[in-house]
Amino acid sequence: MIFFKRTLPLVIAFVMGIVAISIYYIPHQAAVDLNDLLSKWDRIIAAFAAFLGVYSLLYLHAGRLKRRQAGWGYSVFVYLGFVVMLTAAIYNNGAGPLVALRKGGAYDWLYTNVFVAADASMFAILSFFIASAAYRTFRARTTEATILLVAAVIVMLGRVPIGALLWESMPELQQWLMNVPNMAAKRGILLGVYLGAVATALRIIFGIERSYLGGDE
Amino acid sequence: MMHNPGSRTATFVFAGIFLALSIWQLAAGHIALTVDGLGVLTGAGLTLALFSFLYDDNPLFKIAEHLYVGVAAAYGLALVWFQVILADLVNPIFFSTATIRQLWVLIVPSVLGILLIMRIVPKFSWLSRISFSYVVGFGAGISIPAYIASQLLEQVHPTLAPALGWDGGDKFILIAAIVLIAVAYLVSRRGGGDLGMNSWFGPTLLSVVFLICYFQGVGAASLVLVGVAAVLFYFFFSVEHTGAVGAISRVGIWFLMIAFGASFGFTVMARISLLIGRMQFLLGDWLHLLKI
Amino acid sequence: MIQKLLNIDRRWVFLFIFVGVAAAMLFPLPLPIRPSSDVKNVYNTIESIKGKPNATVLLSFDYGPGSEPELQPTAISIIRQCFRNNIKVVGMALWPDAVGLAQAAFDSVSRAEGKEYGKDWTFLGYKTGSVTLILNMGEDFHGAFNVDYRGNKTSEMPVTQHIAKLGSFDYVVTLAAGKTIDGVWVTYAVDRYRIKLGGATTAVTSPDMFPYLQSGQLNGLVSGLAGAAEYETLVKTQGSATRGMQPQSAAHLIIIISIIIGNTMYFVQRRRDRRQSVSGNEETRS
Repeated sequence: MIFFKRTLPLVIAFVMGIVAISIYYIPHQAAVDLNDLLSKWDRIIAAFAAFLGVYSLLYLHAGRLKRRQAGWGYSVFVYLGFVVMLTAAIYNNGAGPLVALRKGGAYDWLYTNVFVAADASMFAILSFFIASAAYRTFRARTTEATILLVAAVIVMLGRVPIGALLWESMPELQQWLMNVPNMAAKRGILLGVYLGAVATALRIIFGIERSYLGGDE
Repeated sequence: MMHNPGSRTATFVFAGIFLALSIWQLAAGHIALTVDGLGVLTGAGLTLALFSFLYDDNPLFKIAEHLYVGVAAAYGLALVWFQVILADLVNPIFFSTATIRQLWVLIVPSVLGILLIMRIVPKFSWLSRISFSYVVGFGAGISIPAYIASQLLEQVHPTLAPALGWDGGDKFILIAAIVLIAVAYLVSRRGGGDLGMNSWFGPTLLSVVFLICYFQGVGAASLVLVGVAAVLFYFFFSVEHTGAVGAISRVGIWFLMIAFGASFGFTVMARISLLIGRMQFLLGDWLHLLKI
Repeated sequence: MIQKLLNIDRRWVFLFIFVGVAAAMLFPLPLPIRPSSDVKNVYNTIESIKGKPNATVLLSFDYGPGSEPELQPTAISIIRQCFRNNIKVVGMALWPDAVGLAQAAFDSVSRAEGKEYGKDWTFLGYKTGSVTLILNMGEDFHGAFNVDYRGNKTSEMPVTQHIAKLGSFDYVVTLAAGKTIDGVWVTYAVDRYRIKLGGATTAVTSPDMFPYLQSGQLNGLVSGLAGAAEYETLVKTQGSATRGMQPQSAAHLIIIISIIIGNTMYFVQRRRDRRQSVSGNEETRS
């Protein structure tokens, strides 16, 4: 059993990894076709993962309801939103779930007026917090903090029309700051990140990194 | 939660504002009780319910938040059904004249997908490891050559390439950087101070160099090279940052601080833009106060 | 007094921002908008392909309602520019959240510019996989998207008939709120399938894009609401982004002033504290 539970997945990951690396470097139609096929399989498996995600969300809130955990009443609204939206999707403006999505109807209405409105508002709230953080914690305490602060102010002024009104060269200075020092630092970071990412990918292929298997081996 | 006075105030004030202004808009004839009109009212109600969190956590916010989570989950699930499962699996398998060869190409990933879902059955959850190892192994495999080619090589190349056509400013900066590092090294060998790199001296020097480069339009290529090298140096050398190592690392930190400052400025910009978007909806679509 | 102002209830700051933004919206003061070179690069690339037979641009909608104000105006402006120049547009989404927004952008512009679905434009919708979807599109476009969002066969629609693979598009522009430009398009598509890539991002992600602009892997960048306003200026059709730049300016000013006030008070307070502790020490010594 240990073979199926641990060895087989590690072998699959190793084989898939080596195959994927190889097809990149083999300039042959067979490699291209294999790449196409394996990629398509990967996409379809990924689609099933969506069901897992939804299941774990509903399971979590079902648990809260069952245990009457503090604030359990709100979990009812998760189910309400889910059921109403799912019904709208299945009804599909009268066409049913076995044809492509139809235009208009409750599914689109709920998307625009509930999903978009709520999602956009959630992110808009952050604007207030960042403004308050700027006032309360953004201090030139050290040399480094001062550099950070000055760069932030130049960028904030350079990106809006009022900056050019205050000083004509502000947008150009801002652009230069982004193109030269910012770019250099970001490139340094990204080189570090991608070197690390290549190392992690190699660790996965060779079975050193196996946290994706989950617990209890 | 309603026992908290802040929460109670938030609930009643925001609900009151929503009702009063909506009734005003309905009475003024700006919004009709049609499908579209109800949509605007729903959107405005949810927006205000979520904004009420700014005063204090309260039931209105919680209800809107949970409703959103439910709707979002069903929305995503439906898209996956219609666009992937239906279009790429169900229709080709059941509603087309596919050959056996064409079918197995679809049946293999379906089986792997079903194994993945086995994760939710504790007794068979190990089966999902087979599908996970496919996805993770394949993902790791395709990423290695892509990262090396498109990220590492493509990014190192333009950092070094301008060396061929450097201007006088570039040479000056590079020589100055080398001199600075050499001096830092010698000073540290003699057990001297840290060249004032931690005080106002270093950043002032950096600002002067930057301003000269900017106004003269020179030295960008070598500044990039110095910046990238210094940042990498700072990341990779875990030895004590003193002497020459300290000087280079410190320059790396300054470059990083400029980048973080720029990111902060851009983040402020982004968040404010999102607020503006919502305000355009509230003041325009809902209250009809904006002239367009 | 200073201590009190430093520790002011943050809700006052919230109110201040809200009122400032609202006031700038209700009493607008038009400010000139100057397009930057990064934005012009995207615009000029699209201009350069007009007149080409079957010129087609792929627009990838990789964002959600959370960044709609920043990216939707750019999407609308690019579609408008393409339609006015008789360039075909194909839309797709790597983020499921974007599907409805993309549909809305296409609907409004195609109606205004009189363009026909299936002939001048189509929207493919969302597929899972992102990276592997790009790999599929790179080799076999019709295999990756056999039908569009409304169930029409891509191999039969005039707008997508001639598209064999990703490289068949004259220009690809991705509108990204997350890591799809660098993590997906630059890494897996630009070099491998020889596409020309332009980007539009939220302001949060755009500082990370500059290394790719300099290396040429990204040929232009429309960043955030400011970039969107610049694009609206270039296509000479004002929209929500241009109108948003006045409140944006106001909010930036408010935040910068509040940073200055906060820092001034902080330093005054610090100096006072130091003086007090020095005099306190002297007292204990004497």
